[in-house]
Amino acid sequence: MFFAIFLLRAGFAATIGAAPIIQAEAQAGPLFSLTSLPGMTAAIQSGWDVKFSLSLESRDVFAPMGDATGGEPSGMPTFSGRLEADLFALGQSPIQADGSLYRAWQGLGLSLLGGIRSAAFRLPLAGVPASARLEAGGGLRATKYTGTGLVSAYPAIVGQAGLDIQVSCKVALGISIPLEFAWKSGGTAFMFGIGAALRYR
Amino acid sequence: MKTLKSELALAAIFFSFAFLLASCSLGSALITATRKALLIGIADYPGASNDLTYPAVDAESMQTLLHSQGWETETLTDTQATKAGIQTAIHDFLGSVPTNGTALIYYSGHGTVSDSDAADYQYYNGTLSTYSGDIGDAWLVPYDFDTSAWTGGISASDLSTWFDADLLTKNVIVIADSCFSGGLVPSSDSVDTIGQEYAVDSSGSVYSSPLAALGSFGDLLAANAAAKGILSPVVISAAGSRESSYDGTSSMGHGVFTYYLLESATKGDANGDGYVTCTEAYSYAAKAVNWAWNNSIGSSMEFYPHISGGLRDLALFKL
Repeated sequence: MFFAIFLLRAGFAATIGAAPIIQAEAQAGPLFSLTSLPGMTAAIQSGWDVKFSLSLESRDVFAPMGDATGGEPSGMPTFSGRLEADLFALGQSPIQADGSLYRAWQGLGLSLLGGIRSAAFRLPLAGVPASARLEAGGGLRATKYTGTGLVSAYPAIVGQAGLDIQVSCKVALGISIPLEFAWKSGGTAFMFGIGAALRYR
Repeated sequence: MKTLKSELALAAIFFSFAFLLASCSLGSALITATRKALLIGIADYPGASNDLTYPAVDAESMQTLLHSQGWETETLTDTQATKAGIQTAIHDFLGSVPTNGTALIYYSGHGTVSDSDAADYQYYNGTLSTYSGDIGDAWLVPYDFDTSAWTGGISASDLSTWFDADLLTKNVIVIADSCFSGGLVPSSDSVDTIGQEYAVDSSGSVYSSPLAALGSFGDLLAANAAAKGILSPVVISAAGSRESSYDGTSSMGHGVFTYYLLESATKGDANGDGYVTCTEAYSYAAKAVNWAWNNSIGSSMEFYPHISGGLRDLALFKL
């Protein structure tokens, strides 16, 4: 099911020459958290997350390149802003030798990120247009411990590094590494994952 | 494009592996630390009018189960379970649990509230028809509770004081199968969105979603900012702070909550890692109480269990 979900990352972009572009995207992937509390050993929790976002980029770096076989790289980076909604769930951590563990939790969040996208370039081997991006920002999360009625809310610093490749005028594929550092319930959680992309333009 | 397809195929395999990894339960360590459980069950109170049916049996069944799973146990039933007796057992028995061990207190018996003659307490006795507010502190009722003076109960602050004075470990589990026991659950670590009085939502479930947190988002953020990560006891209570819990039917042979708690030891391992954590045991028992009791034979005696805590959980049973 998760495999099917991450294949559904999709985006729709409206391009007006070199003007700013607005994109709607969806992304999904596995998520891991290195969770720690004072007095407890840190442990890994695994799960998944799905992101939906609206982004604004100062211009479309892929525009001069047309589809996968035509055009040349633009040579200019671009700046981006992104409003992102997250759905995520993390399972409980492994049980430690003293019998303690970290609870599973699930939640939703809202993040605001800003970043930069590289100039488009030809991917070695495949030769298709590609662009790397790096974004950072902050977010707020509302969560519930799975199986209980216990809820909490916390702030987080979020970031994302990614590589998008354009395979046609309408379709782009990508890979991203979402990162998040959260202050949760007196402890901390450093979350990292892998997001796969299938984007329609 | 052929190269691209190959790369995409490799990427698909890579992501499939990543998802497989994320969906697997990570291996748990063998629990090697000392674990001690103090089981308290009071069915036979002084006189006959306050007697219960199953609490002593509940404590003995919990003792048998936990002992078979490697816990060191001590059981106090009926006349042994005075307030002083319980305090002494916490000091002498649980006080020797090392810092990396786990201490558990299970209690089955009467529960009450500190305001014996307040109008809000009378509401629960059925002598008032409307609820008027706070019902006072929740108390466990030891064998020597003074029903005339309404003194001698064991409050959450009593337990907290005894734990601070006597226990070395911060891995503490408190399970209370008693009326009003939800009042023993601290709300400092996080907020329990299940109401302290039984009520189902529009979907027929008492469970909340993360969306429920949005209604009090600011308060939750403030609570999170104030959280110090203190490892408070994990408290599982049979009922809300405004609810009674009940002896089960003769076929159950236990208190209702304890019956399903015991059942969770074999059926509650939600993630299949071979252990039933406090959260898993609570989740199983709470759902079972709701489905099998509140919605059928106990429909006129509804209650709902609660659990406390934040990020930290503790293993309770193993399969």
